[in-house]
Amino acid sequence: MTSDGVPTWDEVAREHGRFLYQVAYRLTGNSDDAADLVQEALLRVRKGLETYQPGSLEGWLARIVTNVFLDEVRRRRRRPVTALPDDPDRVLPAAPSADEASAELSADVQAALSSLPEEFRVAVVLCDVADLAYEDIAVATGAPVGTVRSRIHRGRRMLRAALQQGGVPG
Amino acid sequence: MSAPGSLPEDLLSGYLDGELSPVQRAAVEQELARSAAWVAVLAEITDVRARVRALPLPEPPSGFWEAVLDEGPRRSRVTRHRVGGPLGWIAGGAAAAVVAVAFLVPSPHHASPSVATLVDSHATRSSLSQDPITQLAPIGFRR
Repeated sequence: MTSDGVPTWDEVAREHGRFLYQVAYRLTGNSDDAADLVQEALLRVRKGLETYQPGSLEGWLARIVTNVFLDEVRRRRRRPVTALPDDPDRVLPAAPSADEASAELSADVQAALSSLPEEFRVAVVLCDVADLAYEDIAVATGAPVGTVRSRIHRGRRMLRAALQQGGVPG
Repeated sequence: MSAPGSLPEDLLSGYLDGELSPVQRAAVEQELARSAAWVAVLAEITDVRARVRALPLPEPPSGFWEAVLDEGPRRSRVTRHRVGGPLGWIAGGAAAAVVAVAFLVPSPHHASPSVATLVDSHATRSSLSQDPITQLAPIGFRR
């Protein structure tokens, strides 16, 4: 920590890296994209620390990782790429064991989350995974608090529909 | 998100997350007391919220943190899935073809002034009885 209360890059990576990775994983839905997202976010953190004003560090980090995610979504829309799924066994289903039941339930929730349009996914992940207050989510996304609340609520309704139907919400 | 004349339904998520003012909270509780539909929606979003919050902490690829902390932030990628098999070969072949075309197809050479302009000029001079052959000489040296 520097004398003016600003953490060093090393401290951010060590103490908040897992937070960044968790948010990145829930936004992207796979470990490789999450790892890329975290690395890019940490690059921006290093540059951003020069002008960082002490405050909600996790809110600031959430804003960075969200921006990196949305930048990547826009880039892929311009130049679509084909990626293999994180777990090839999900393409060629194997008989599930009892031990895998919990993992499959998590995978269903993650699949439903990944099926949400990005603005709703970001709102739900920042609220329910990053555990940010609406005000911090508003700062992170640049949207008014009322819009944040609406996106979270609609995102949850879509998630519910996706989990019930096992498909992409309409 | 709300029926005419009633509260916006997204207040239910604000209620669940403890993000409402006391006045809004009281209004939601009043609506919940009279609307079975709102109670059902609240139960649904409560369940979804709990399921998302119960997701396990994901683990990054092996060696990820060691690489990040040892080398600092960098642009290189730790691990990537690549498109392999026939798709990879097709994509690679297409890229090679694009590069080959770019090198092999001659690009149009732009003379300045254009050949058409010089031809017109030559025709004009010829029509004015100047020496047409001598006037052509600069065309071969201009780029």
